[in-house]
Amino acid sequence: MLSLTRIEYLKLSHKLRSFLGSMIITALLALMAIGFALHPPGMPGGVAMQAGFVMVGSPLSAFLVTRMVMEVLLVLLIPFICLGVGDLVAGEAEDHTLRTVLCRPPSRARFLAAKVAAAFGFTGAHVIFVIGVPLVVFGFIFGYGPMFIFGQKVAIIGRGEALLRLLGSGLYMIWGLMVLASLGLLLSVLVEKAIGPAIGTFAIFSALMIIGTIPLGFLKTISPYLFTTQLFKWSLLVSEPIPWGEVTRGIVTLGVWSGVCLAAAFLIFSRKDITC
Amino acid sequence: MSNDLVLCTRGLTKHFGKLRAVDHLDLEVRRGDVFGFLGPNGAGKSTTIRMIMGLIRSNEGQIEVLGHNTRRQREAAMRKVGAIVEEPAFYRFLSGRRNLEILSAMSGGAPPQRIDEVLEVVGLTSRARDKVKVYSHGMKQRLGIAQALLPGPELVILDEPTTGLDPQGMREVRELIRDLAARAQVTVFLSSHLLNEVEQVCNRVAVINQGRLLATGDVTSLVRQGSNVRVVTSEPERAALLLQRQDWIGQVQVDGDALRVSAKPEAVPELNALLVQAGHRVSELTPIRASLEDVFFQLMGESNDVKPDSNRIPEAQP
Repeated sequence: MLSLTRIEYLKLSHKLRSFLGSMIITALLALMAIGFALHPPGMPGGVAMQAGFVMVGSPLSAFLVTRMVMEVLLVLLIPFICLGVGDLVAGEAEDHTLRTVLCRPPSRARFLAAKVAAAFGFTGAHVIFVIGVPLVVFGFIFGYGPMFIFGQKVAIIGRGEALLRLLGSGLYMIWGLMVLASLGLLLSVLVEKAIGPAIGTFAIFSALMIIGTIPLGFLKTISPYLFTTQLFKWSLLVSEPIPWGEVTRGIVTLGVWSGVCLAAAFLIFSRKDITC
Repeated sequence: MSNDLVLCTRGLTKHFGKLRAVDHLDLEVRRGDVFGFLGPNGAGKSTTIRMIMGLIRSNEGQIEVLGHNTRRQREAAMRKVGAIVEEPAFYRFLSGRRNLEILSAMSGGAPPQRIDEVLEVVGLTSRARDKVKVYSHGMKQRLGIAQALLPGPELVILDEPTTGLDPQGMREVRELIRDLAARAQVTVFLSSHLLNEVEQVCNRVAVINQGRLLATGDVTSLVRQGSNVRVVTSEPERAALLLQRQDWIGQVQVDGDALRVSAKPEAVPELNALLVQAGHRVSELTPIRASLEDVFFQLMGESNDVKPDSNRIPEAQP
């Protein structure tokens, strides 16, 4: 199993498209860093905050800026996850390498498990990149001071806790994006063209996002059960106080989505006729 | 399954919707065989190979490879099997050698010298570090054979292995197949359209059409069964009537002043005696050896004439 997973990483590492997301994110971060360095942003919270507080120094630290950047980059990450994961099985079917590898002794379940591990690693690596690089880059610009949390109240947390909360948010983000990866894998085992699952996963994500934001009767009722609604709740871990009930509900909902998608993917793939 | 059988299918059936691609197919490949698997396009050869390799699930029947049921013990069954299923496909962005390393790791791993060996066998050593995307079709075909040989197989399944190769390459592959069977004691299951190729390298064959087995057995027996005897007598029509009444004689055709009698070459003396005893003056009795191609087309013709349910031709008698 370890050997199969290593092979999957090797394959991913030889494809340029695997690095497309991180390359674009790097470029974007470089632009942001230059922008922040030249024109430091004002106090978050707007006019009301500025009217009620007298600030000495800057409330901005690498932790706060990273948290702000994460919000933007998560949206950017989604199409790249769809692209990378959608290709995992369907890409092999399209290149006909699927039949070459499935003629080998390992079972389809092991093969797909290695793909799941690759998808997990791919997603995790992107999230680590989205948190790690800004923390380092903005650390040079803003330093690692305490983190301000702006909500109904303003809270200030120490750097140790701030780092821990960002790590927690990252783990939640990985967990949430695994739903996307699982959905991508499910679509990837269904078809034999790589572009289909990538577009399909992104289309489903976008449709559920829209459904989740429509405040109408039934749609409002199902909204909390949509993974798109729960995916963005990672930010609860950098709010004060942390609503643990809501976080737990998010983790469970996302877990159920991933579980169902992966179970369906395994079931379909184990019974599928490989005719490509 | 007897220890002697390396591959055995029983009642193997596959439907694609209403189409019956493979229909109750029984095959037996013995250890050391170079087994030819023949049939026209769409006969069900590739579907059968895909079922053997576990790429396609059968609707009925069972497959045993090296004593293991492929549905229940696929991993054990495939450990000592190498295969090319249709056109070999590789990771284009990796080198030939890296592809072999990956495929070897998937079969439990092989030492680097084994990879060197198989590259040497197929003549790709000097190009092993090039990316597959720059390989010619023939080179990919060779790499396909190399990957099939990687696990030190007891059974090699080759689906049209000489497709795309130049005449020199085709000859080398044929020699390689003979070598595998003779020196390495590898059993080879060879699906091919090239009847001449099969006749040259295979000791046993199976012929299928429309998913059904038409004939199976030793190549020599099949060819002998398809052989004819040319008979020239004074009264061909009367002689034909006499011969048609004999149950040990197959078809009798009048061809001008001669007869074409479907009978084995060993039947010539008996044929002569029969005609002479009946008062015929026999001036010529010539055995005409059939080729595998003659037998193949004869079987195809018969299978297209007969009703689906009576489509079976009994195993060729040695």
